[in-house]
Amino acid sequence: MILLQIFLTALIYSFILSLLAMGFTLQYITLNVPNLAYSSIAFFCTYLPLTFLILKLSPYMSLPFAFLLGGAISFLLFKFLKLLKEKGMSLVGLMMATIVFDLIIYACMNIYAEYLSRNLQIYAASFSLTAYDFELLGLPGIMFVSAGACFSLIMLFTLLLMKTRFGIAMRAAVENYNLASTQGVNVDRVLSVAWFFVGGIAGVSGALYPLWFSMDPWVGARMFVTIFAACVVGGIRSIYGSILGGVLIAFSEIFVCFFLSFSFTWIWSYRAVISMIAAVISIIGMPQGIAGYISKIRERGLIKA
Amino acid sequence: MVGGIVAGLAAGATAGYYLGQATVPKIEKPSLSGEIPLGVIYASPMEPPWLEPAIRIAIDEVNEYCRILGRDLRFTFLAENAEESATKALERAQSLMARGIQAILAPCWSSLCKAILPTANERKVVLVSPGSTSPALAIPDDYLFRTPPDDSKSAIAVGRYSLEVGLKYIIPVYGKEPFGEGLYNECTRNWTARGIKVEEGLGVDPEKKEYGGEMATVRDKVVKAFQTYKKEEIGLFLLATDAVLIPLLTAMREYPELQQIHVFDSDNAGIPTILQYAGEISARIRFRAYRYAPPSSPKYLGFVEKYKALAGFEPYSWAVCAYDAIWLMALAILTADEYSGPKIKEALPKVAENYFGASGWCALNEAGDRRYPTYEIAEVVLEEGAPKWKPTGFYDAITDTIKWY
Repeated sequence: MILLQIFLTALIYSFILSLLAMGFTLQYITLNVPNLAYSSIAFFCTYLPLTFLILKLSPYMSLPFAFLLGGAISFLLFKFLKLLKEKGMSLVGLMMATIVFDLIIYACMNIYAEYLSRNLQIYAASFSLTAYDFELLGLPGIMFVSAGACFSLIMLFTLLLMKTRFGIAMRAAVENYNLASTQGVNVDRVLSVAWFFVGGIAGVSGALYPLWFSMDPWVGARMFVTIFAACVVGGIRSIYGSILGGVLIAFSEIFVCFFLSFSFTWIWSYRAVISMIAAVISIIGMPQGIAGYISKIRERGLIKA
Repeated sequence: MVGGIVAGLAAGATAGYYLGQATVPKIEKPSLSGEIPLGVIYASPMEPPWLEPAIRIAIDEVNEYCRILGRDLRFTFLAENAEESATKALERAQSLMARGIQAILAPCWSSLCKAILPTANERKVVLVSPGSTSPALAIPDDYLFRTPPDDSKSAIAVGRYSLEVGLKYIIPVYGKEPFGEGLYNECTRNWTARGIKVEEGLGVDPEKKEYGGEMATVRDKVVKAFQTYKKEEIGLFLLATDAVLIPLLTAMREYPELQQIHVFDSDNAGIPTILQYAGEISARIRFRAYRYAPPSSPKYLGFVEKYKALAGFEPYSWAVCAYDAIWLMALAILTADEYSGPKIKEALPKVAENYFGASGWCALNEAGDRRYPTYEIAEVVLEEGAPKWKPTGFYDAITDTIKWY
């Protein structure tokens, strides 16, 4: 029974983390710039379910709007970065630009939280919506919704990537930006849509977050480290690898601590270190992450065959 | 002849004037004038809505007091927000100090005060915290003063409470930061001295904000304890700020075993966020908590009236302490007649010794913290379907007794 509870906790954590890691990886490979504002875009959308709750609506009703909001912010950031890139800004400069964007989003979150606190006496600088979740078969609703969101978004993305002309154009643009342009692909439009889609995924995962976790405006900055660790463990250039990385990090963080706590109760206070250790081990042992390792095994299998 | 008399009178008047100057004590006019800016560092963005009204009331009253005294002085305040970060708290403090601030209303959180204190000591700038209670910061002769009592007093109250409700076995869960750790150590010492069995504390990462796994470990300990103790003899003690306490409470929803024991906390009674985000589970487990609470007095009731008119709700204890902290800083500056950290530091304990504020008598101990505390005990109950804090008792540190309502 207790293991089932722990498993559920890790499962919900892994669904949300996988979505976040997948979005971060996709944004990275499309523009070759680590988007340091990514987690803030995701967590900015956590205020939508709270707002819906204030309006006496179900927090889950905010999910489509979170998709649109995350997508719109991400689209704006893409246009901003593209403009800077066209002006010849270096990679470091572009990374700095994402930090500036991150700070703006962070400030907006604080302003909104303060507005809610001052005017509506809703304490929004630190909140949790777990008390407003529904139950199904004795399990928290967030488990079903996060699983549904995770699988459906991954399926949708896979179909988009593999079965549509847009997906082919996108893969071409990611592989070789200039070559894709010369082949008639409107790279700018393709990447704009990709960033919108990824921002949408970030928005949905952000909106699901407060239904299981406690939220505050600086969660984005803190979670970024965990998201990055999931991407590194999964493979920084592999979308499906990052999903796997998210699952591994979430499960290892909770299960490793739980089993160690039988002998070392204090281990829980160092829970965040687990994801860091996993990332370091991955960098040393598998620089390409799990996805890279699987590819290598496949290649060896093909050579032997 | 007449000339001689005139000359004699003139000489006498001159001599008399100078002799008079030598014998009558000279009363100097106070030299301090102009605008005196006090610094304010909020611990988190949650604080200004409930802390700022208290600061504004105190500043207005102090300025009115200066006007009555005929002093050409006007107190103002410059506010910064540490956003829950120790690094940011230090940056904000350095920024205030760079602007010449000599007295700062320090953050309510001990972790943030701890980050600022070495710089304040080095730059000789007075800090007065209206909320820090960690015993680790009870340091004599430093630049930090605190209007609430430190947690060693709170631990005595908690120990008395644990005995009165019949607890024999306690599992402490604490936030791994100075406030939680300090209180955990003090409480453990006190429980042990009172003959209560204390399990090894479980520290949680205050930044994680999801504690399903941690609560599974606690549940494991509780199930084992059921073999030795009755349910009502087991206590789960949560020592953390409300930002950590809320996810701890909500995580308990998944563990029915934890809902059968006595769950309590030492510092968060009356906090509205607990009702807002963990109200249902808190009411289900009859979550009980302590809080530092001023005794009722005309001064306190007058402040409450002003505060409610400005903020629209009742003041939280730390708001009352912030009001007194501003008054203490201002009175110390007026007494020192110099806007200088070392002079304010010297004057402040003497001023506090004779100051009866909204939070009661503000006398400080040798570490610069409140000497005589009083605490209120409250529990979360459902009233007409809505969770509410209901006061159930009052603890007096002087007699070490609880008066139950």
